[in-house]
Amino acid sequence: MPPVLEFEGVSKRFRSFFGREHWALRDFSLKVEAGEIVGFLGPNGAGKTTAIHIALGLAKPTVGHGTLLGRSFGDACARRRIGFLSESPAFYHQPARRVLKFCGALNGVREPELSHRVMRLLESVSLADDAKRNIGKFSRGMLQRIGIAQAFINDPELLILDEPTSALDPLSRVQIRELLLQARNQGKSIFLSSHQLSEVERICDRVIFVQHGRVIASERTHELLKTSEHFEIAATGLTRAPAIGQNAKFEDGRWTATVSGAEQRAAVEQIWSAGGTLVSVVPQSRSMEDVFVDLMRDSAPSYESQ
Amino acid sequence: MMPVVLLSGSFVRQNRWLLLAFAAWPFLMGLFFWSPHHAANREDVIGLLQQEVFYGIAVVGFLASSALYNEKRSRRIVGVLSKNVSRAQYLLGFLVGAGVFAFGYFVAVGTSSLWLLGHSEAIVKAALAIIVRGVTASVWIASLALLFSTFLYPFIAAAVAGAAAFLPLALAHRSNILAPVGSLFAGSDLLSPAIIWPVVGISLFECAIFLLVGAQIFAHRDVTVSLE
Repeated sequence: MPPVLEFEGVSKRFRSFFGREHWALRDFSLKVEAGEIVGFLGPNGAGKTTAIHIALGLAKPTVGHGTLLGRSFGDACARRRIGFLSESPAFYHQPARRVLKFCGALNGVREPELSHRVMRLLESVSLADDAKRNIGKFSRGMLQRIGIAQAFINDPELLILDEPTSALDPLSRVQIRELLLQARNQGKSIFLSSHQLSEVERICDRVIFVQHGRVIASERTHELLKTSEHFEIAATGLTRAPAIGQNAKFEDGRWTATVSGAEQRAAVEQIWSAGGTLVSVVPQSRSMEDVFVDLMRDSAPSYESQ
Repeated sequence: MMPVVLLSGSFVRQNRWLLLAFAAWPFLMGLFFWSPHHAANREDVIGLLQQEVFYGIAVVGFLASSALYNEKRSRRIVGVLSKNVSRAQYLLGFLVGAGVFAFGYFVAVGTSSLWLLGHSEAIVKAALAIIVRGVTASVWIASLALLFSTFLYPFIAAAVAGAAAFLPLALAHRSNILAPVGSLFAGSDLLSPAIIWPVVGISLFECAIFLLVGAQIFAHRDVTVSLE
């Protein structure tokens, strides 16, 4: 099956009025396969939104090319099969129901299916009671939920979401997460740009990291978060610091130390032979935040030198 | 065609209060010349019509020139162009919207003429001619303003389009092709029932050309929006 989204060596240069150049993307390549939820992470100004705009045909690549649902970037017919939520969604000020109808009709959804979908989506984002309210009176979070609902209105094959859970309260975030997982179960692909790393950690199959306009890593989420082969060992009943690990410390009446997988057995035996009681051996896991910070720190100097 | 209908509807809806105010204006101005006992002076009405026609065309041109800029500034353009809408359809939506706005306004202008001058057959024909000529001229200037607004700031686009429409009026020789707006309102008698259909045809043909050129330019430009 061909990828639903593919960038091949895309570079994008912006020029200021005075001719100053800025490369937002450089030799940018990535693939999103059908049925995947892919997280798209990077610091502010990394080029995430530019990449999304190029995929949607809102901006032209300076170099390179790519495809969206098998068609070249900018193809209007391909856009009919995607759902997109921008970073700051903006709509014509009219009742929520009409906003969704407008978006659906632009993507070719016809009555009576359109009305049916509108009501179902308003319910799924908990805005059914506000269907007749003008969105000009909506809060930022409500607008965001309308934005998410409109992205689903055409039953898209691919969802491209730029910060879908920003401005949402925790309950709404859970709701949107469930909506996205439900979409994945229906076979939809999701390309998710977000700074909410815990969300990405929970729902994405794969994560692509981008910095300074380049993809610096692309890994399965479970691979990224896999234990770093280190364990935290806790023990009590020891009269002095055990000679295990590099960073043994005494806290709350117990000694804790981090050891590698290879040292684990020896460390446990040493605690027992010293008359100590083993309390726990816990594999250390990394959060997406740890991974993100490590990757960004590691890649920054090497890129700057280029 | 559905995106064009939806986008033109949104354009009119966005400007509905302005349209209502402008549609009321010919009647409010007419109150100065209206009498319950006799028809208004023909010369007075022509003078009034000259103002109304000029301002109507100018306002439609200005609205068209700022349409794209307003959509970018509000970031709505991203939501619309990320859907199954081509750049040509997007511009056409604005142009049709501008045409509907012009139609609403010039119907009010024509109706106010009937109100002031009576319902004779000649006046009815003159009112219809004003509507046809006004809408045609408005759509012509709107298409030119839209073209320029794809690469110029709206004020400059409006100024350039306005200059193209109105400057030739000051020239002794009017070209139907280079300046159809001038030819549409040739002669001082705005109450003439004559419609120069070839000029209307040339104007609409030029609108299509301007739209196609504008769509080509717009299709090669990035849609950049500023975030909050």
